[in-house]
Amino acid sequence: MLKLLWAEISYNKQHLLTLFGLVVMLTAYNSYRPDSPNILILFLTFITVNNLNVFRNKEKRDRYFALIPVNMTAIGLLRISLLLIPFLGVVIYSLVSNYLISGHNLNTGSLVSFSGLIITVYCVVYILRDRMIETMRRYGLTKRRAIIILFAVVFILNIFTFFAIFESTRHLFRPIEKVIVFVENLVYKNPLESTSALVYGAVCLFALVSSTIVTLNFRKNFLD
Amino acid sequence: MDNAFEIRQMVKGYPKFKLGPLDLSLEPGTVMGYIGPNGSGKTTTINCLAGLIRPDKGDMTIFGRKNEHKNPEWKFDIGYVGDTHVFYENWTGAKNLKFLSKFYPDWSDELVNTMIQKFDVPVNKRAKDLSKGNRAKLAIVSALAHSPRLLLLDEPTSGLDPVVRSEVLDVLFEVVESEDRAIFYSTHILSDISRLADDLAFLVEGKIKLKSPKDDLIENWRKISFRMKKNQSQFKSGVSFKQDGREYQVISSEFNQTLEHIRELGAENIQDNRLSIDEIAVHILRGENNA
Repeated sequence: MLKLLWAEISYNKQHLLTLFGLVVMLTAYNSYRPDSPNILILFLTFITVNNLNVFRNKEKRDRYFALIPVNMTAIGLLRISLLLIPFLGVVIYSLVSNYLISGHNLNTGSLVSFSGLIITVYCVVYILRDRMIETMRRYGLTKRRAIIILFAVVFILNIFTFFAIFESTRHLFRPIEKVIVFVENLVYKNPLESTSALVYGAVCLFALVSSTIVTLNFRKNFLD
Repeated sequence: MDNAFEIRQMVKGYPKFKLGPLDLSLEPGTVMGYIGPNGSGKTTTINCLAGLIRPDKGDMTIFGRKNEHKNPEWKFDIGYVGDTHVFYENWTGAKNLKFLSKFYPDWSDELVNTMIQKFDVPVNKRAKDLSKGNRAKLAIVSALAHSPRLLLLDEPTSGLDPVVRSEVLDVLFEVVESEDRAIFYSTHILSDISRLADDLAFLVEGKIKLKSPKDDLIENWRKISFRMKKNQSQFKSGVSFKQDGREYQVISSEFNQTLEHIRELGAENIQDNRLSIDEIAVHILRGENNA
């Protein structure tokens, strides 16, 4: 697994270095302007991770790795590592550097929750891709339609994840208000203040991350 | 000794196509041509063997080991070249080869260098800058460098122009002819493989129509011409016939049986000619054989 991980990091080093360069600059800026929304840092991370995935898909990396004598669990761990490493790197760097430079805590809540959110989205996409596209195609759906349905499912799941992680369900039937509350929470409020939300989020995330490894082992098609 | 591969009762279904149930095996050191029209299931079979697709039913072994992803040791024994050549596109050919070398204990840099020189592969170019022909050659070097005992070739020259195709086939055959390895070569162009194949398997609409040693096919399939007074429209082991008055021309898939039968019928002036392997394939793929 380490050989593959090293190869991927080495192959994508320009992307990763650019990301961390920008993160360093933004973190420095944030240390002088503590009120600025540090969510930008995570958007950058998101874009980088997204690009890594686009490259992997375009170059049919799953097909490449399926032919190499490495077991699928290792490839599943690799896939999730390539997702987690940039996020954890950015979050840890941002927290530590802000604390050291300015002595105050960055908006840790938004960093952690937004990271969790994006990792959740990717995990769900991986799981659906591993298990559902093949099944949908079996029932005569075209790949394009299957992908549209998957995105719709992911979107709905995300909305519910937002609600579950950030608040209780008291506003469940008032979706517009809920979205506003969510955005406020994401940017300004620290969800780490709620221990139960944090534990719930962490458990969900761990389960999701583990599931991506399991589903890869059961995937039926490595042509793409 | 275990077979190079064994496929037992394998089924793979798609909305508009079903492959199998398929039973097929290949002995070590044997070259099998896997012949069939486009869409007959050749690529699906090879993808299942290479682990790129999982079948719905049945099982497969490579030199006695199940080809499952959790125990990937069986992959040491196979080299795969398909019609899609996958690399790290921004790396040079040499770097791609170096990457792969880390996963195979039997990888030989010496063999790689020999093949690179022989095939004239520009390994210092990035993979994305290589021509189609050179990508195919790089894929062949990648597949052979760890000296696999089984080579799976799925129309490796597909999409190449005739000159490059012939060049790639020449280098491929030069390497594989010199070694004692099992080769499973899928193609719809029989001439690509006919000189090398020991066995031929014909696949039509997801089912094996016929599997036979190439020499047996050449020996048994004949075009028999004769004269006969009697009107006859059925001949033992005859797959097709033409009649022009008293003159008959029968294509037989079992020469001796047909010969005996037409003698019994009182045929005269009997002459027979062997068919080329391409002609035989056309008859089989049209569904004219009695197998």
